Amino acid sequence: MNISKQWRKDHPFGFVARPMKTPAGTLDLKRWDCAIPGREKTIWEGGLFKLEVQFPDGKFHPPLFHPNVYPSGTVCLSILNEEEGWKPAITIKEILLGIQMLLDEVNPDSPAQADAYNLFKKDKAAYEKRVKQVVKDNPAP
Amino acid sequence: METEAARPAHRSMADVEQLIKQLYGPGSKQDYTKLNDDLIQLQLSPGGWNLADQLMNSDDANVRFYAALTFIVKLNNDGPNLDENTALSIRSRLIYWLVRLSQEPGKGQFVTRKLCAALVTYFIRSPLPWPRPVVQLAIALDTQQSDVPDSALQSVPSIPRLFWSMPQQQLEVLLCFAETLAEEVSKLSVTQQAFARQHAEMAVSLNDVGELLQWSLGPTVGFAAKSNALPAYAAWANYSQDARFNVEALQPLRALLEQVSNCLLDQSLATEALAILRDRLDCYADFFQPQHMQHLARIIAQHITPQLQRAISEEDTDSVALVQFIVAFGCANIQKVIEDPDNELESRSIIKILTDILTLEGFPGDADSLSVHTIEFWNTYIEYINDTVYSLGSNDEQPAWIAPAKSVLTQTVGLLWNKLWIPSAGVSKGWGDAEHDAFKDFRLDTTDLMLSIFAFLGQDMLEQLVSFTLQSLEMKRWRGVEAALFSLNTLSDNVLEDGTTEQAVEALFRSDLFVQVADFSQTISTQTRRTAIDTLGSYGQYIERHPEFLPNTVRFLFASLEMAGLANAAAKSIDSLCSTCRANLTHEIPGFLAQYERFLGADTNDPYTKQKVIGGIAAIIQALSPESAKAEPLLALLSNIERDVEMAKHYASTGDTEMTELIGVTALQSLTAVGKGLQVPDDIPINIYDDDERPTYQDSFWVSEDGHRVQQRIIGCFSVLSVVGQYGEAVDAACQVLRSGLAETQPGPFVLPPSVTINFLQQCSVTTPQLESVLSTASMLVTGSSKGGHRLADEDATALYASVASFAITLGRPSNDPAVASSCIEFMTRLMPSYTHILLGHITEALLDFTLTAIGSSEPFPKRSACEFWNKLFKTQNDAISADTKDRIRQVIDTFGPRFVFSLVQQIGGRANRSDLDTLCEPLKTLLLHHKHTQKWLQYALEAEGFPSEHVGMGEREKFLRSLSTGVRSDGRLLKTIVKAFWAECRVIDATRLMRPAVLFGPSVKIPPTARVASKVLDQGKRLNTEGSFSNTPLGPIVRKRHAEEDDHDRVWKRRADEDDHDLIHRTRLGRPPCSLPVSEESGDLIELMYPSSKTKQKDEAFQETFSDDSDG
Repeated sequence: MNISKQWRKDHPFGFVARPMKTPAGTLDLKRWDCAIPGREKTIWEGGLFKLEVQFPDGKFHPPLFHPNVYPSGTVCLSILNEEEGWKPAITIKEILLGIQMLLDEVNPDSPAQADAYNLFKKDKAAYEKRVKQVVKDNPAP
Repeated sequence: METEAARPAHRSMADVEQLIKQLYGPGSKQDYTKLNDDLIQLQLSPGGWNLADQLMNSDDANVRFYAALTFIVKLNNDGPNLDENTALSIRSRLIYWLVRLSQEPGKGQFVTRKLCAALVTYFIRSPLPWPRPVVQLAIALDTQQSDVPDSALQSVPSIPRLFWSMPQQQLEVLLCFAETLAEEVSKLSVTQQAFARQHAEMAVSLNDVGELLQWSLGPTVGFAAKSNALPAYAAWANYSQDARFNVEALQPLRALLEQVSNCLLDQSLATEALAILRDRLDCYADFFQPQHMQHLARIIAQHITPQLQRAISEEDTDSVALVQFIVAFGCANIQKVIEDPDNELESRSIIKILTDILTLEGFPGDADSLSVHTIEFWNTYIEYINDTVYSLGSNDEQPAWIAPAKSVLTQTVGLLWNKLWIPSAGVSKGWGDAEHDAFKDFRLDTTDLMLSIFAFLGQDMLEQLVSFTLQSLEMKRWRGVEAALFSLNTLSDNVLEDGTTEQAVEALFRSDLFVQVADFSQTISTQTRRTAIDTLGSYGQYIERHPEFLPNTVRFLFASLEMAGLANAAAKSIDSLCSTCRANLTHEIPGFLAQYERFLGADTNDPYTKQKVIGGIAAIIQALSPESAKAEPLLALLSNIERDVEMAKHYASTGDTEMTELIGVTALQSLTAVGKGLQVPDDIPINIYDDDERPTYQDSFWVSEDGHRVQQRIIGCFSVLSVVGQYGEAVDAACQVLRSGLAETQPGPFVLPPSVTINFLQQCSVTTPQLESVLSTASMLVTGSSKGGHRLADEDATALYASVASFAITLGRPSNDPAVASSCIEFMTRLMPSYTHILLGHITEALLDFTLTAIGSSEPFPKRSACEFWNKLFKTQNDAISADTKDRIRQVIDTFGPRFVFSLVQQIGGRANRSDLDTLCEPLKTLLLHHKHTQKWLQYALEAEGFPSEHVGMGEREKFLRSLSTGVRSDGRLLKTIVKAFWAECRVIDATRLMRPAVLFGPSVKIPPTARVASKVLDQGKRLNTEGSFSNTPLGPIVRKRHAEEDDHDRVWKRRADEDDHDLIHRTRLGRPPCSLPVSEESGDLIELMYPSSKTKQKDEAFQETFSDDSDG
């Protein structure tokens, strides 16, 4: 079963993943246009965050305010499974669910942007307020 | 173990049977655990084989089940070690019991299944080959003999004949065994050599199983055998796919496809057959040959489609399985469906039934449970077409099926649009979360599909959707409008990227759509208006190119601002549209300002919407020309903010802190939005040839009297900090205001004098919330003035530096506030190269120590900032700077280089996190390239006592050093690879010790508390005072003194390691010390402290006290 069919058959609610096109117009299964909804009952709920997954990295467009996302928007997918090491065999579904989990479960050992990391460490209330603003800027349809 | 093994001897068979019966009977959890433990001991004992065999005689089915289980446990444990005789004997006994059970109907089918599983376990675990287990069991069942010699297999005249006379019940046992065999062996890796024998024997058995299944699915056999044959067939088909048998090898199973397909006609077997065939079609379409597809197409047309139509009319839930089957068939046979569109059975009828489903009434996720399943078919359909069309060469002829495929898809788009209509309020009121989510999911899946279809249909599809919108608009069918706009929004990126199709949307914007939706006297659902707002966001670029459509659209957005449920989306769109189309909206400014005033009185006015709208209007003001024209509307915007400033102060005077914070912070954030809006856009064209013609700084309106007056009003808004300065959000917003001007290259309203930033910084203390934001603003001021034409005056740079240095010194440890520490170091880095003379002219040992401490810190950002600082310092040495400054840099590097390298080696030696390594490599690379002593310093650091990883011996460390001395200096990637490998070696070996830094250096070098105190006292002696003046010893003279004494070999190397992890003063006496050392009076004290004398011991207590006071303070 091909990878995009596998995604269509079994994808979590609210997520988007579309393989991008090569210059020739065919599907490029290594580059995906994706969107991740914020998990329910977290401060990220109600948001939909767009990112491009290009193995082995993901890049949020626009860059996301989050301690584990670089100022450029890049999120290293290895962060999702640091203990066991990055497995290239991981599916797009697992990647997106992993990033969704990461939104609310910050990995403080692997900070990528100072703004979000400092606020997260120093002032949780201000951090949460800022995230809610981010959610407003990126509302789920 | 022997006593345990002997246990069975103490139990009679009756006792054991009793235990088993108790196990399956009622009882507590404790009883169960105890019984289970006892029985497991019996199973595992050497007598376990005999026990299992005897228990099979029992009349109790549970006991016989346990006996079969015991065989499995024994085989799993001891199977591979069995000798030939024992193995054959066990196989014989298992077959014996299976034969016997097959003759005793009603003795428990679950026992038979378990016994089959035991025989399969024998097949897997036995050391002996068993080439044709199915036939051997068939002969045994036929002859009722358990001992079937392998030679008997040769003399079987015809395998099918074995089954002819076989009673139904024995056939079922055989099928059960065949199914279990495939299921269990499919769990064994096909690539692992250990299982090669089993897989080879399975390949041999495939023919035998084919014969068995052919007979079992044949016309003369009854329902029970057939219902056992289907799962056996599924198990072998799955196994064959997993085992990657080649196509020829699959023939025995493929040959049965027609028989399996015919089971679809038998009502009692149809469900099972449907599931098996659908699974095959989904997972392994190549399994089917053209004749199989034709046969299935016939069955679908003649039986399944009528059955589905009946199920739909009777609202039978079976309809889902039938649709899924047809979809699976259509997808597996997609080439035929598309390329042979006139084929009635294999194409037309499939397309017809799947499009008919999309015409059924009801909403997907609610009454319509079928449409959602057809989406997969249409995805497969369009993917096949796109793949084929895009791979056609420019000279290739268009296939004949293109036109019919376009027709099919055009029809499908229409049907999908109908399915996207949102439910009326009356319908959705009865929906729960499940229905809402399922409907949303359907809309998302459908729009994905539409994107793929658009790649093929292009402009035709766009026109079709625009036409749906306009037709619905004419008839005021707002849900139809919404569905069409929703689809168009999804396509926007592709439409705008392509550029050739976008004229199709002109009709949409030329229509009165946005006038009508802006008319709030009409009853239009909020969702429709929200989707219309999204359309403006999605097609913003198009509107930018067609400003004639702007007024209606923006008016609609402003009108929507006052509607709950639309305000956020409208405000966001206003911001983006005003920003994108600023130049075309300048004449609307008075109207927008009036609308903004009105909006401030509406309920939907909140901080978010206010900032978005005011930012949008500011962007339009930015487009006004000349600069002086911006003043008036800008002042109008500022007056709104000033009102908030005054209101915040009023609330503060009444003691209402909540409202003070809310209004005060909003005022500053609105000012930020205005500042950002007024920034010159990045994409504005710059004429690089007419620099001379640009107005000079002095000519700019913003440095004139009138311009200053506007700036004073902006600066005046900062007065709100007097009531909200204690809130981090307010401080951050004020910084954002300053930064909006600092990012500019030409004078502007927010390009404020440097004194504003300097004063702001000077009013801060280390306890100021968001001080890091203020420090970053100061860094930006330094960087901006380094690049632009307006250089910061030396006294301004010095004033900033004094404040920053005082923060760092007051902070003491980077870990006390890593964010501030990191920002302080970053500021120092930004001073280079333009203000290096200021940086070095006033630097102190305490400040440099601060940066070294940061490298040893467990905090990532101070560590990164410090690495960047040192890297820049090493590099700046080669920049075009004065000889005196160069000399100072050299002195600093000569003195601190060894300590820096020591800190670096500690990190690379395992203390750093993996993510820090790249940062650590940068200064190392610069040093290796530019500083001749680096190798020597590295050698000392690697050989020094206290290397983090004890298990990486001197040999490995020397090897690492050698690897750095060769070609890696200019090869950054190679250097990183080497460093990472060394770090991994250190880290893996000594990971646990890294967690406990106190033990790191062993008990022999325990840290004397006095050392820590002394170091602190020394720092205090040399630090800057907190007022920012450089009253104490600057580094210069000390450095020079040390340098003069460089050749003194009897020196001690001081290093103050990171207090966060492991305060210590590390000393070492090496044959050749790395550098000159502090032999000032202070360092003399220090050396003494490291060899505690009675004098210093006495001092300890006093210092302890001082230290405690100090740390508390």
